[in-house]
Amino acid sequence: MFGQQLLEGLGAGAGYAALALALVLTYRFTGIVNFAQGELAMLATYVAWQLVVSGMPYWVALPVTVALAFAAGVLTERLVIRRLESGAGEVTLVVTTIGLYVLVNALATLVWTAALRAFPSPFPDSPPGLAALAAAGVAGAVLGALALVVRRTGLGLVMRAVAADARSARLSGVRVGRVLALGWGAAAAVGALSGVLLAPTLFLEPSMMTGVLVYAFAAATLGGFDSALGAVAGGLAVGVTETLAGTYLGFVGADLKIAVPLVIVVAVLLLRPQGLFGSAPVERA
Amino acid sequence: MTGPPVAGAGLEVRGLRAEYGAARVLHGVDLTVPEGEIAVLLGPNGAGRTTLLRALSGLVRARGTATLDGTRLLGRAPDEIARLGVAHVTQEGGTFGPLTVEENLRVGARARPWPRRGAGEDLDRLFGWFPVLRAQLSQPAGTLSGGEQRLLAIARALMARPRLLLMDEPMRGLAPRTAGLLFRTIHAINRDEGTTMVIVEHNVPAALEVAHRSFLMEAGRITARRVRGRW
Repeated sequence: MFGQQLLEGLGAGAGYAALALALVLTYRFTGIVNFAQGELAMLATYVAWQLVVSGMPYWVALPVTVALAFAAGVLTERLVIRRLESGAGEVTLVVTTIGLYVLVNALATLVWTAALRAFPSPFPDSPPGLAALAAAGVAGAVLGALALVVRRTGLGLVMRAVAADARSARLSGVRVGRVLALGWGAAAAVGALSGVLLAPTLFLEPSMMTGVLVYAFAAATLGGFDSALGAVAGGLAVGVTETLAGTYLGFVGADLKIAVPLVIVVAVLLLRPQGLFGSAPVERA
Repeated sequence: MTGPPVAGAGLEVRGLRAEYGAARVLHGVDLTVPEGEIAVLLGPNGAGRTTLLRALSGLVRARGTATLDGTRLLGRAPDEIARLGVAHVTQEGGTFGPLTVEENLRVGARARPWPRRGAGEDLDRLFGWFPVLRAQLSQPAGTLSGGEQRLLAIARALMARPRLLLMDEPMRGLAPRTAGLLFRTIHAINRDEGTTMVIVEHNVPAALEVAHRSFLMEAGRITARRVRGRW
């Protein structure tokens, strides 16, 4: 029973971790919090669902959706964010992402209606624990690959340079616009992964990611908003705490379980404001 | 006194004008720096020297003409200008704090022309000029002292193998001994590599010691110029 709950918590946590990572990626590259990240993931999930119900196997639809989301992320940066970035401040950009949130939500409702739909499970006949484990495995593999790219490749080096100081990167000959578009693409792809991984356990509907976004914010804050590893660890921690608290703490139950990880986050932040893995700036004066 | 510069070789600036909003900062600057020379921009604060460097590296939009070895610089993005061989070490330095010293230098090599070979040998040469960096290769740049960060910023710019190196107050905030060492290094780099340089500097005696030519800027114009010792 406990093992089963733990697995389910990890499965949900993998989804939260992926969305939290998407938030952290966008934040590190552009310095803004993308409130539309969850809705873009929801849109990608609908696309995946459409592909699956039209006969494409789940494990094919997943990479296809992630690739489409990557392209959509790149386009969003090129067509919307870049145009605003030159003349607008961060507040304008953040408000723009809230506008995107509303727009994408409305668009999904228009196309697919607000009806609840079941997303077919990739393992229809197996115990739920296996599906959760597979979700965690896929998320882990993708996040690991992403970490390798960022830490070990020339592209990753340039991405970190842009995140540290875009102007100096530009003066070093780096095509910063391309790197930012790539960053948005990567964030959208990881976000899509989150939606598709969580979809079999959630019902598909236009507001399915609203709660997940809250968890992802909690996870990113818990882990440290500037740490990719922290986002992943935070996501898993939030998923497991939420599931276990809902089952084992009688007074919490299904209704109150959303509050448990948030309480833990507040407690952690009181002791360590930069989050568990976040770094206080180490610049020498 | 040198002879007339080879047509197109080096930096040629004609009628350069730039403004921040309604405030015009550069009122038609003309200057020539032949290939392989060090030019120093002197003048009071607010004369427009920093803006001139920014205009040349594409950080500030400007009108007029500016060419490096005959190639137009104005109207291009900063990253494109960097890839054309112009490196700009800003007043702030602009090292990548979370990246290690080695990673900073590797980012610097991104602007060099394809194929980007020879970065390893360039690193060895850089350590000859800036031995202090060799010992701190794996340290995050943000943990270096201000002077070391300045040296790293210059070293990173040199990793691009620039044809034109713009430096904005490279000695600012440095202890006199470090500053003297830095200027001797700048002189050696110019001698060994033939890199054309434009340097904004407040320390007039030190600057004049290395300069092949100097320009006095006041209120957005060049009001005096000196070539090899003669005003």
